[in-house]
Amino acid sequence: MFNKMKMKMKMKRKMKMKISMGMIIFFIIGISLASAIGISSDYYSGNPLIMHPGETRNIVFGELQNNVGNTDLVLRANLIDGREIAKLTDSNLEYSVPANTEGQRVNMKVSIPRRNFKGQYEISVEFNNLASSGAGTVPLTLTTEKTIKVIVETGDSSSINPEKPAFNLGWLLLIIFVIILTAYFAIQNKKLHKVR
Amino acid sequence: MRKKRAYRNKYGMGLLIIILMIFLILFIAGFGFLRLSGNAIGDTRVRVSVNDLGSRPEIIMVSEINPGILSEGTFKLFNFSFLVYARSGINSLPTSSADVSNKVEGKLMNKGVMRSSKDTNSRGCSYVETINNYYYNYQYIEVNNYSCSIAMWYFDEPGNWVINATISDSFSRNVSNQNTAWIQALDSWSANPGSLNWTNVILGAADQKASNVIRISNTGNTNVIGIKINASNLNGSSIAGQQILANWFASGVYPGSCNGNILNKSQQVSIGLLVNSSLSSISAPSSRDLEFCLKQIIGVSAQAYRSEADWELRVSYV
Repeated sequence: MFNKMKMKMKMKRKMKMKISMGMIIFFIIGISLASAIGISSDYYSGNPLIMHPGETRNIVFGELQNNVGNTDLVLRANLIDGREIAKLTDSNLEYSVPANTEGQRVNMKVSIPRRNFKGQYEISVEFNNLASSGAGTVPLTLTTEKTIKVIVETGDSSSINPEKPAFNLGWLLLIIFVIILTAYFAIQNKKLHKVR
Repeated sequence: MRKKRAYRNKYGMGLLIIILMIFLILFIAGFGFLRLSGNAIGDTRVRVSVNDLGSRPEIIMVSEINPGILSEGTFKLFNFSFLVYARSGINSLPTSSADVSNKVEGKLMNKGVMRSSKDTNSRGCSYVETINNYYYNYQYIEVNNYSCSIAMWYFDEPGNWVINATISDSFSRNVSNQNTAWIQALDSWSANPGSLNWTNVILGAADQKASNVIRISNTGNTNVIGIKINASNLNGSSIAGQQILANWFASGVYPGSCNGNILNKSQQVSIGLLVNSSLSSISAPSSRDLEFCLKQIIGVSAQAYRSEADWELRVSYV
């Protein structure tokens, strides 16, 4: 009898425990993640943009694509590094990239100051996905940041200016010619003086 | 005598002017010649030697591939064409589809990786047409035009690839020729699944891992070298003012999230996560799992919570 009472008490305690456990068990959230962002570009760590002082160039910074998943993307481009030399030139910097499409170009103008120096710049653009990840969950942005290196080369390097040897050769020929010409006139003058 | 001297002087001046002209021409030509040489560095056209080919066929032109843009997470077909001249007669070259599939092959090669027109997913090579009056090497010749279609994958390395065209004539004489193809870098990644859940959170308990991980996949041809997480607090949905703070969460590469980096509200917290594109394959992209851990939960009630702002996952490509 006593044991039965004890068992009932235990059962009641377990039930209370279960109820109190139920009180502390809860769902936090579901965090939704957007689909992939793809940027295709000529420029990457193995192929920096090579420019010269005073040069201005319009480049395709990248082409956006959305081939993974079935969600349409709206990407906002924001220049975060390299503002001193680069500018995003598209009138609308919010790019709509529907699912299973590619080829949305992001255009940029890069201008190197007219100063004679060698150096390196970095241009970084972030692409924020503005498309909502859906109702009933916490929206989450997926951002891709792409950096390209710009290497500024001056014209004094023979490796980037193969015309330099030609310039030297030309001047050498000119100097030889002037020497010959001077020598010729000197001899002619001497001859004339002798004759007189 | 004076007349003679005057004549000699005049003659000498004429000679001098001629010498001057020659020097000037040499001077200007010197510039021009070397300038031309300099520009020729960037010339990528195929130079074909016509010597010592005998009666073997000759591939006189291989076209370029442009633009070399890959598609994330999948393959893309790249087309190129080439022209073949057969001294022994155009009839010695294959034209029927069966013949062409045996005797013609296109390849793209880079650092030991080869993609062939004969691979699965490629479309092979085909005979396009015979051009009767193709001007080549100061004469009109008859050439066959072939085109090849090769599947390139999202993880194929960026940079210069070699296009190689090979053909065999009816006498089993093989010839090949090359050109280059520029393949762009493709920075692409995905995060899956679409939600992160904690199904059984116990108040006061430490180190409670999320029920699922987030798989970060590299769907491009450059490496993902890290990820930054910008978290925010979670607000209670029924009891206002109660929050689960962003810095109660930590994240890291599976299975070490609870010893990973503590997240912070509105701050980008870096997680070292290398997802190497060279480990991707035709069957699956290279991927790593990102795990989240609720390090502590104190002073809040049992209820549903919701993030007060977007959580951001950021991948940087350099």
